Amino acid sequence: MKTAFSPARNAMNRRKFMRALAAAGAGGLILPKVTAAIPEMPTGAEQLVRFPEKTDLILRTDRPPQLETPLKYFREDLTPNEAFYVRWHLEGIPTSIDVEAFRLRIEGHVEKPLSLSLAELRRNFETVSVVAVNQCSGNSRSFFEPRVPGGQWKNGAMGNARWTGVRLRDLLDRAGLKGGAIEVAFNGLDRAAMPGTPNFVKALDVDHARDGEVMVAYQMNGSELPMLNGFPLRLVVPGWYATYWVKALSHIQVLPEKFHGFWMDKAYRIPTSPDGNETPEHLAAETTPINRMSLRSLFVRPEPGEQIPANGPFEIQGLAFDSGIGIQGLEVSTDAGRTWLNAQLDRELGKYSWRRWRFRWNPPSRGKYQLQVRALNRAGQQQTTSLWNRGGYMRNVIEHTEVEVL
Amino acid sequence: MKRLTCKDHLASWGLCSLLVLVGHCGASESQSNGPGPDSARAAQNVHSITLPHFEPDVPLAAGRDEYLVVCVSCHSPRYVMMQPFFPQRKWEETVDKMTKVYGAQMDQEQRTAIVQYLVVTHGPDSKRAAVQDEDSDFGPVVKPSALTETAPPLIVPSEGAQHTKQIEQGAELFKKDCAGCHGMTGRGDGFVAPVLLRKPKDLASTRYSLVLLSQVLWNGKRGTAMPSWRSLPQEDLSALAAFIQSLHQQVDQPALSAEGLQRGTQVFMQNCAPCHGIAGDGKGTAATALMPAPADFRLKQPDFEYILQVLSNGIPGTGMPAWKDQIPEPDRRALAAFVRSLFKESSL
Repeated sequence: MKTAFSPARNAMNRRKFMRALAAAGAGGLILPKVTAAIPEMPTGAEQLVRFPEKTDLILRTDRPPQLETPLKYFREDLTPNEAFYVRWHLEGIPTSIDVEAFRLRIEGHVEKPLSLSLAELRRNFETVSVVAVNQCSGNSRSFFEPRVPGGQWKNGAMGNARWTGVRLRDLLDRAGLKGGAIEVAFNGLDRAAMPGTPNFVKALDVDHARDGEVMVAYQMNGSELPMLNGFPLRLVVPGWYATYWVKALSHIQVLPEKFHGFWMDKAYRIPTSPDGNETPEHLAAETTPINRMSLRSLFVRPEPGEQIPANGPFEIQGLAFDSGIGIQGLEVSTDAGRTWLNAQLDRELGKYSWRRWRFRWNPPSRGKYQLQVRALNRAGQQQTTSLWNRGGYMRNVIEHTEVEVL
Repeated sequence: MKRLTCKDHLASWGLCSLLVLVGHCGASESQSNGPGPDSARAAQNVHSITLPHFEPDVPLAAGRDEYLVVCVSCHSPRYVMMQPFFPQRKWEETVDKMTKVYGAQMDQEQRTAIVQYLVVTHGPDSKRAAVQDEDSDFGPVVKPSALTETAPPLIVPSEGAQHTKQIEQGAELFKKDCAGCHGMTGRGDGFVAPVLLRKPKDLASTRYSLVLLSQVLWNGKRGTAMPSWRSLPQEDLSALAAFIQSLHQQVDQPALSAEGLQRGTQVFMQNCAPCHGIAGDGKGTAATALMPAPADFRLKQPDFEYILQVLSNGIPGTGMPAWKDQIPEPDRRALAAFVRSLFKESSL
């Protein structure tokens, strides 16, 4: 069936264009580049593209960039910097940073405002490290049913990295919080194109900001951050969705009141129900800013469409994480959820890291199987079978994958 | 916290650029106090990337012009392409969200056209719509664009105190609404510029007629990120036009002999007229296929040096190719002089 983007349509456009050129009848005419005139076909196939300092990633959109990590990179504990997903909100993303001139400002309701160079940040504060999952609030949004608008991610809008930097608490203490500080707001160097677009600013409760775990990171996995992942500094909020992990962090503002801004008050909000659930017919009346990550477990192998040889065992692999409570157990079903068996958990790299798991499977015969996976955490929380909300946030349902044993 | 406005951003960005400049000039030695692998990087003062472009084109259908003018300023058309096929009600919600929440500039007519476009190209029936249209060369019900016809005239006095005041007013508006892309001094180097494939115009390099400025401010520039500003009061549009005109400094342009001009004419007719038209009005026979449309040289007069630069390098993201390997340098100079001669003073 032809679509609005069909090859036939393109051919016609080209024909028409060639006719137009022929009609021009100019001798020695040199054809101008006309890439802009010929519509491209969105085929549904995933296009891999390479941005600076990144490897080939799945192109969701190009401007501002949203690039997804291919599943194969999750076969490791730590996601390589070059393969780490990319997601910006505003058109004017930073592309050039003078590392000498850059300053991180800490201001507002403080005794002594600070303006720190990158060198001062490294020299004058204790260095700390944490392995933590960074997951987009909308990771896996394309699997919501009914579908919802937004970045149409599969499962690759996440990654696990070792973040190195300084404690936010140490910075705030150096600046000296005045009594009555309520929230801390974080702004990066990204800018909107249109005057009316709200600036991307996120805020945390002051106690959370001072918990000693929230970090201003200048390295991931032992190297500087790629520009597209927030060079030179990124806020790290272990256990919380990545919307708080402000990239190219340049301004920290301590507030004696609650912060009000679009990206806290209107966007990135979830129903107040414990699991963030609502239905299209009955949208939740009350919403709250998205916060801690839900417990979830995912398949890494087999990948969708991967064929499994019938002779010999196959190692099913995946990963699981939550907001820092810790994975207690992991079960896999190879018969569409009728029976469940324990998978083997890899070592723990810290409570905010994901934990990989593996399950040795001997398929009893050729044919099609539905695999499922579910995790249990140390607080006794389990995954559910369905979740929907209007933002397409926090997907954490028990995942299914269909495989064929040949 | 003080609510930051765009003006604040621009002001701080300007300051920041200044700091960058100072830091860059003043830094004589690198500080390599970072851990191992970073010391090499720290030795370089500025860490930069150049963004690649994978911007797609968009299918032909009614409302495409409005969609391109209004929506692509802030995001790639790909953002829409990746969305599921939504019904009209959902697209209406989404378009309204863009206006109310993200400050997109559009009037009621544009809103209707954009929703219609999204429903046709990305709605539940979009496949059927396309099939119905199989025999047509140019997509379903392409209506002639209403957008390029009705720009009201701008009123800019040629000199005097009122003109000066208008320029000042325009400068303020420019800082707020335009500098993000075009830069504080109109050089096309605003902070959004690095991500745009079709670079914002360097407004200081060209003498713009009021006719052209009114058209572009009113309609936006199809195929570029330049949106329509018709929601601004007419007085503001006039002030912006006055300011933009003031950015261009008249400089002495090389005079060419009659023979030179004649040669320029020949080169133009042979190479440029198919797109730019025999009259240089941008209405060549191939122009309909190009987006953005070829320049109309009756309505703008680029500086000599700027034309030479464009002839050498082309304009990335448009149909304008680089000619340096096809047209020898003396001919390019003759051509530049000819192109400048097409300008109609009356359009000022």
